[in-house]
Amino acid sequence: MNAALFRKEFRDLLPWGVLSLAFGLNNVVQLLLEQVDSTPLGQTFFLLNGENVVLYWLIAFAIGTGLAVREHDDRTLAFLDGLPVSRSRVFFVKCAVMTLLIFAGPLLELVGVGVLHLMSRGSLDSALHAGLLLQAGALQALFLLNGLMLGAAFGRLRSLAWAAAGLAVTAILLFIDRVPRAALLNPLTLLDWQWTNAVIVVDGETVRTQLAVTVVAALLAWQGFVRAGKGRLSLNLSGPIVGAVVAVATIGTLGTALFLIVRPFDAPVSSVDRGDEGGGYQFDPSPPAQTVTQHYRISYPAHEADAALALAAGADDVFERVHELLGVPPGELIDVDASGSAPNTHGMAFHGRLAMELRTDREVLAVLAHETAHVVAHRVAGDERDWLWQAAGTLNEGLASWVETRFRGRVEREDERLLLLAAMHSRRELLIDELVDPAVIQQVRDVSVEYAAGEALIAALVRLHGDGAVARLLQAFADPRLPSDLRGYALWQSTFQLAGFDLGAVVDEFYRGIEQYAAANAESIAALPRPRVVLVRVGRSIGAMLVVDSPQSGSTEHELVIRFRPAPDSPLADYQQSDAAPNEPIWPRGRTMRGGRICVQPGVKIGAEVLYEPWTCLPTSDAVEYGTLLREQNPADDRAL
Amino acid sequence: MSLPLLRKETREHGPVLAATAAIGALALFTMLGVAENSGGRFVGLTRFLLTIGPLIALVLANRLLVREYTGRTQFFLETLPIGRTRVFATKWLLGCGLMLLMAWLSWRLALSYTRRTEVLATADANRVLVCAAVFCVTIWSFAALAGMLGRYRYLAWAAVIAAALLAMDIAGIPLFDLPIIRLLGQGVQMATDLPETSAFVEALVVTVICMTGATALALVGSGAMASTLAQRMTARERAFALVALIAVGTISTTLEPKPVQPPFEITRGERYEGRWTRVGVLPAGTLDADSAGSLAHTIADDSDALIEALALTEHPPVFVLAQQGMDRHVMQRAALDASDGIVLKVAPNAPTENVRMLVAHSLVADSTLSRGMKDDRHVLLDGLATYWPMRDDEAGRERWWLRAASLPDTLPVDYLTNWAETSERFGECQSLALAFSVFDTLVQRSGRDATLAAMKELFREPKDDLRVLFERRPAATLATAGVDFASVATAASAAREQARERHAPELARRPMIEASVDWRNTPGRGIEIETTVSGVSRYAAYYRVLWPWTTDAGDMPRFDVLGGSAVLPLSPSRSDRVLAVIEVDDEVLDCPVRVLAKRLEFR
Repeated sequence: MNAALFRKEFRDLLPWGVLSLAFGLNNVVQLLLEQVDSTPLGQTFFLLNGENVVLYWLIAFAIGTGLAVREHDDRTLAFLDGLPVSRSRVFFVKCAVMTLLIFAGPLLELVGVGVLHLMSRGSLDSALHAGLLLQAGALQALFLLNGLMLGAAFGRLRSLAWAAAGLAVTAILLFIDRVPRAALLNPLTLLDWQWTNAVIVVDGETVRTQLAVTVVAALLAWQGFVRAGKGRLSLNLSGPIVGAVVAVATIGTLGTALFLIVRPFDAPVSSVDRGDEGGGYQFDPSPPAQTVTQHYRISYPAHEADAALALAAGADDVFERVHELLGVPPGELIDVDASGSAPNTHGMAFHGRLAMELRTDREVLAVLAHETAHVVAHRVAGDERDWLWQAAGTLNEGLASWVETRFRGRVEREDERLLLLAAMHSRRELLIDELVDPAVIQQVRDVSVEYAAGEALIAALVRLHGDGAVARLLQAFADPRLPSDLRGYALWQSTFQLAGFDLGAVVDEFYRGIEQYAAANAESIAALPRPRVVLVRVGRSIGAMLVVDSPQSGSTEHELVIRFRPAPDSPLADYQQSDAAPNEPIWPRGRTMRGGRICVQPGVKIGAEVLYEPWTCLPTSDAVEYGTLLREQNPADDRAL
Repeated sequence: MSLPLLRKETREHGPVLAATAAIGALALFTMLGVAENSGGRFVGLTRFLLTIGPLIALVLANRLLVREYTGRTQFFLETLPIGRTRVFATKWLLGCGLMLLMAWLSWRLALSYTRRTEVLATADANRVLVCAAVFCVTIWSFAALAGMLGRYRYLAWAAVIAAALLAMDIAGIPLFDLPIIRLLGQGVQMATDLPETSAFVEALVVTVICMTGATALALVGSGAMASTLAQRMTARERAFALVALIAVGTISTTLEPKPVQPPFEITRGERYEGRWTRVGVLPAGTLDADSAGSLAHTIADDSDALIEALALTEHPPVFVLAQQGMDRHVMQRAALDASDGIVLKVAPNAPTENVRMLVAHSLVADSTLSRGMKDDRHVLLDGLATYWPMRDDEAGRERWWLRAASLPDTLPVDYLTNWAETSERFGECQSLALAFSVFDTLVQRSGRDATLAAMKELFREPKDDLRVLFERRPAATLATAGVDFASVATAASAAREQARERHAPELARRPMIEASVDWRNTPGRGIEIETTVSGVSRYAAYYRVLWPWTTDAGDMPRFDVLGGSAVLPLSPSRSDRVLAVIEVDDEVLDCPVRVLAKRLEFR
């Protein structure tokens, strides 16, 4: 009877299997359209936990929504009841068939990339690491089973299934936004793999949680199937109005969930305490006020009039000097919103206007100059069509920093930035290939490198080609002959070329200056500590400890800092930074851990700048017991205790 | 307009529209909140109109127009004492009015958000309202037309979305340059500027066309077309629609995006035009204009000769950019499109032969679509590239033989066909010397012409797909020239032995260097990777965490060590695998020599 049931379900659900298989085949065929013996796993392994697997999960969810209810709704359950098999058995056969069919596509891809690797492997990657592939397959199977069972559980809500799923996704994503540790509730975290030679490291807690979720969902679905038509009336939302409401709610919730997942217009979200949130009390906002100078229209909170008027007094001079520095004639009036800026920033420029903080410790006119430079650059580099300039993040921030430096009273800043760049260069870490890609800089090192390196690049450009060079470069970014999606080195090369400059010559001048500085300060650079990170734990708390190896271990000249972030792609606002001392653990908030990993970055202070080591994400299972460590270091204390 | 009809519509669709409005309001609040940190002013409003606006138009069209036809309730309306035109006009205007109401409400909310912190002139704000209203009317008119297409309405939406995506991806038109969406550009988001008049004209034209189309569908033939279109799609139609969408997607992937970036060029520097190759060299530092000109000439000659010898079909331009601050022996190739040619970055004092070697290597590698760098033939590519600049330079060749002689006399049996492993083990200088020794031996055995003929066969332009499986293996190609890897390896080994005897005095001057890499894991200090070198006062350590299938570790971070040992500044996990490499400068060989390369596992 099992075989007959199996065949019946297989016939019923075959279209889904064909869909899964077709999708898998499509991905494999794409690989076959390239040189098939040059496609080792080193190039394809990311496919095993990529977006395509998420699509399979969605197919599994969709197919699952009918698992517990379709037979009942189609009135075929009565027929099944007439057969000499229990409903539980029918349910499990359905589950088995659906899982097999849905897994057909991923399995095909898994086998495909494995076979291609065998055809492509070389001497350094000859091992297939079949164990890793099997583990990947098992994790994919768990992931898809999770989608299937969640679909089956939500399917009990019938027409509300997708709306409820959208709502659940939205709630989970918002919760994760507040508490990153809650990422284990997100099934996608099952695909957050860390590849090592022996195993795929996945957070055990996440696997256990998702297993539990899958089992609970399976139980709910099973209960729904077994009791269908026996107890309460099933949820039946029919009728035109209810149907429409459900449709609208579904679109709304899924749209919101999609918005949160994709974040198409991503913006930094505050994680640091702001004045109006942190204290638990709140003052009424001050009404806005406005003052207009020759070149600025400044809106500000009315109760900060003194600071605003002080800013306004020097603003026009800033405006004119910035235009002079950039070699462009004075432009239109600039709107300034002086009511504040985004967290972790002193000011921001948006499409020709700027926002800034009035109550700032930094020199406020220098901030105004920095943001004004952004606005002027925006106008010259295409105005509404300045997307290429925005994409050249290092040049964009570098230009503003270059202008800002001319308004700064603190002369050491330039020296500190040069030392930072020289140290990076001597470590072969100041790479132009990274500088052209702001995302890489932020992911591997720090956004401050954009400012320092960009400033040095602009300075090199001006040294080589004179004062008018900046304006020419900005105008080149507005050249309509350039493709709007040009990025990276190609973008820099093309714009410099159109401006009549050789990027190579400017880069040469950039490195020449840094090399000279590095040669003159070789001892200072050699004395900079190279901190490493050791993870420690006390109970469930995970911390990180900086370790400095000799010969710099005794150096106290430079202070150390340590930073944490939840994931390699976390926004700047989610970073957590502390001062650190060697061998003293720092305990970050739980917000900085996700998926059983902790991303940490040590750094060394150079005046107001920080020279960071590259980010590293370590599994929390690597953490050593801090108590044991202390006892080993101070056995006498232990005996005294 | 008909008031009774309006009342009927309100009664019928009130709850749905209220639910829609509630969801829309929630979305608007969210977007305004998020937009505060990414521009403020009307950024949130424009995002709302771009994302939720079309959804609301879709819902309205479905409720007001589509349902009457699919539910066949328009027949009842036709029995009422109002004309079809009036019914349609009432519904169209009601939808339009609701969209305008949405635009006004959302604009009002966005304005009050903005005015909490900023003083914003009413005239500026009103301009935004005009744009929002025009956008909403246009979207509504399209939604109404799509709605009148009945079962094909979603296809109409899909077609418009696909067209927009194609315009962005293929034609390179930015989102806010697309017609209609232009109405919500940066100027509107910041309330600083109205879009150009043409944006309004486009919107007007689209509105009129859509409105005319929708009216025609509703009224021509007493609404017969709309009634017919309202039926469900047949299976055949669904299949056709699906296939059409897939076909559009497939075709779009084969189209070349436009415009293309300008090809790479240098604005100054020394240029030389050879028979096949155009070369530009950018001088810097010690590489003056004369030297650069000479280098350009030499590279062009080398490349032309290689192109002719191997009958290469691709003749890319070559650019060499000198860059101060780079290590003498480091050369990099820029990651640019193939059409940009070969763009190299080198130190001003880089050995000329190395630059010429890299150009030759790049030429052959590109013309073989990188297949020349497969493990089973890479040694011949490296050998050819190293040999080529030295082909008429006896002294230069002897220098490479000296380097080759410094290699250990016993090498693994398959070191020639496991070239990635060999290269990692010996580093660039010595692995190139090894490749040179193999190639020069081959030339001495078979003659230059025969060897080049074999290389011509080996480095032919391949197919770029599944058909590469049918190409002849390198060993088979060599066999036709009467050589095999084993005999070449033996002969090269003997030649290196002879070179060792020839260069014994120089080799004796080299310091005895011993190096080791060890790791230990202690609770207080984590995993420490310690490098130790004796025989030199300073050395460079390179390191990288590897993936399970990493082949070439690429450019690695460098740690300069003064003294005999140091711990690498790396914080690996217990389950990581790390490649640690030690190199020292060898004055006799005049290049950095890799003393040790080790893949460490910490389990």
